[in-house]
Amino acid sequence: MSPKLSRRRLLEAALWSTALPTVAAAAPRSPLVYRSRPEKLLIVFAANGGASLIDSFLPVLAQTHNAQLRTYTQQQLDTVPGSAFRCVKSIPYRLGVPVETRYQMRDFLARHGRDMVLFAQTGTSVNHLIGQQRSLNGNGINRGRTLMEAVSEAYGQDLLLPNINMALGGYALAGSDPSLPRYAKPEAVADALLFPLALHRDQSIEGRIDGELLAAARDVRGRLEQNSRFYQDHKTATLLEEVLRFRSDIPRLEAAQLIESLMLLDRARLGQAPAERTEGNVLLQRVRDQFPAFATDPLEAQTAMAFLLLRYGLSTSVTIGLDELVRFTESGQERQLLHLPLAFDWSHNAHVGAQNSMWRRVLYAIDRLIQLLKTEDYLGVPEFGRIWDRSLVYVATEFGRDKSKIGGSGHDLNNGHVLISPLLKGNQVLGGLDDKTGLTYGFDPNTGRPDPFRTMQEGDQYSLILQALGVRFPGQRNFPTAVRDT
Amino acid sequence: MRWMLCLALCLAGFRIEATELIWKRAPILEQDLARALDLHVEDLCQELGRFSCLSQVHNYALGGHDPFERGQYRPMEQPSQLTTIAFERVIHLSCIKRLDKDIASSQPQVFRHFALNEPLMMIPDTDVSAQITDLYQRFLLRDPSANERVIALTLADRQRFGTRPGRELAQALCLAIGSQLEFLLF
Repeated sequence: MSPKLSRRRLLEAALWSTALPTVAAAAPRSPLVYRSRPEKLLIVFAANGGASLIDSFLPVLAQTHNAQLRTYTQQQLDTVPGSAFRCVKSIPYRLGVPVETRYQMRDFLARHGRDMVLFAQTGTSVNHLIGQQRSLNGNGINRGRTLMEAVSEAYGQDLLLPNINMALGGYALAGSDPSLPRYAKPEAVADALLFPLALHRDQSIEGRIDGELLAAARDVRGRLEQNSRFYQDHKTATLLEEVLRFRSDIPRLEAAQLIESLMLLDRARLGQAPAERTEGNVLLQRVRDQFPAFATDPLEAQTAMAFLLLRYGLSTSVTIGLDELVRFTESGQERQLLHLPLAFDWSHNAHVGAQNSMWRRVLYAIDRLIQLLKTEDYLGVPEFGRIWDRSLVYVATEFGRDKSKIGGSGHDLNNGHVLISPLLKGNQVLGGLDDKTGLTYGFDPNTGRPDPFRTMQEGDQYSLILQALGVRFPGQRNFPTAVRDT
Repeated sequence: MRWMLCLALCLAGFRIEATELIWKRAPILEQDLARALDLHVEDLCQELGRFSCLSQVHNYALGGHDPFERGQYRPMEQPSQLTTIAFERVIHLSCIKRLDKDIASSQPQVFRHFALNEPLMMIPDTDVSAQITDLYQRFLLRDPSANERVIALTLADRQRFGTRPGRELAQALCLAIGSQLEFLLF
């Protein structure tokens, strides 16, 4: 039995594409345009493990009266002119090997701060799974629907893959509303790099029979099934009905030839496709250049895939998620940590190092994504404006961390979330921070003024996000000062 | 007496059917497919010629999960859109794998009932029928009914496909029989 080659080694050996070959340019293909275009796009970034806002954009300045809290000195903080926020500078951290330090939070502020809103919130669970779910379903405020399901229900009816979820754990779970239309349910994707191969039944299959015989084989299969004892016995079984329904939707998906559009791996180098300089291939190369570690870093692969799904009008909601596996990268001769074990939950062992490292990792990926969204037209059509104009990024996390300065940190309900969107009135903190306790507090929804005696919860944030995206539901709370008129 | 009357009336109002089905997930599907096609698990289908279909590429869509390399602690609860596509791809690729081995071998293991290089018009129905039976036994662990056999034999349409080599018919039969939902659900 041959040893199982690790996926990483296979990919590293074969799959880097540095430049498109200079073959004669084929006629440019028209952009992939599907039957309708969703009005708004939601990108959920699942910051797994407890991403603390006071360790990123709402830090507590160290003073004499808060020596017992997690604080930062002025020298450890940074900002940009005109920004309502501060951020924490890169803090060296080692876990056997050093954590890579290529990215600074300040860069994120400089590029996207004016579209950023911090929503101070106190959650209702310190359990990972439950906290994750509630960060997405607003603690059940909308019939148990997740944000992604609500957006997909509003805008995804004609789309091929309206709700793609590449996250794990509670972030990957569907909501609990039985009335949700089937098309709005999440489609789970385990591997952003290879999942396009599950979008066509026979494309890229070498040695397959041709279309006529293949169609005949499928036709015979259908008739065999209908005439089988198995079908007669189980034709009313929910599972069988569901799978048959999925099968009936396949031709629509296949007609879009999505392997060509979404395959980040260079099929030409794998001998699976001719090396052509088509519009689609040019875009794919641009995405690969924007996420150079796509072949070995699942986070970059997911973020790259999220862009493609939105760019081509395939999805109205995409969810990206951190996993909990330690990952390394090479920098010159040195091996560095790219991703900590347990992601943000490594804070139990080393709070400052974990938070600083993981926030920078997350923000790096979001930054690269937003840069693409700001420069690409939606569906490739200039009249539709930039993709970013209709997008909202929500950095979801299950809870904060405790505020006491004692080595590692436990889970804490009090926290806040980062929202980035031109649909919001950016460059503001919704709520405030008590620098004596390290706790965030809420705000008056009508005026937007911070209110130290008010606590915002999951349902409030859920309402705001959907309000910004133009989605309404019964019992929704209103935040007129936070959302731009559109 | 009254409760017996109630029970009888209730039963008369409902059809009692065998409705429970279970999704055959990736680890079991892999074993069953390997057994059906007489292949080692490692020799089953590969995507792009290098990635294992069932343990890597389509593992999650086919109901598996990888806690070690991907941090997936739970599989999907129910099949999804991708499941149906992945299932057919896996069957199709594996059939081709087996076919290639049998073509290269002097003693074919699965596709052994008619000459794979001869055109269909030279292959009698009895030989095709024997192959159909063999594939049913391998995939579905039963013989085809008379009606199923007649339906499967329509693939050996000599007017449409008479000049095609036998290996193409073999691939078509393998796909038609092996990718039935009876092999995915039980």
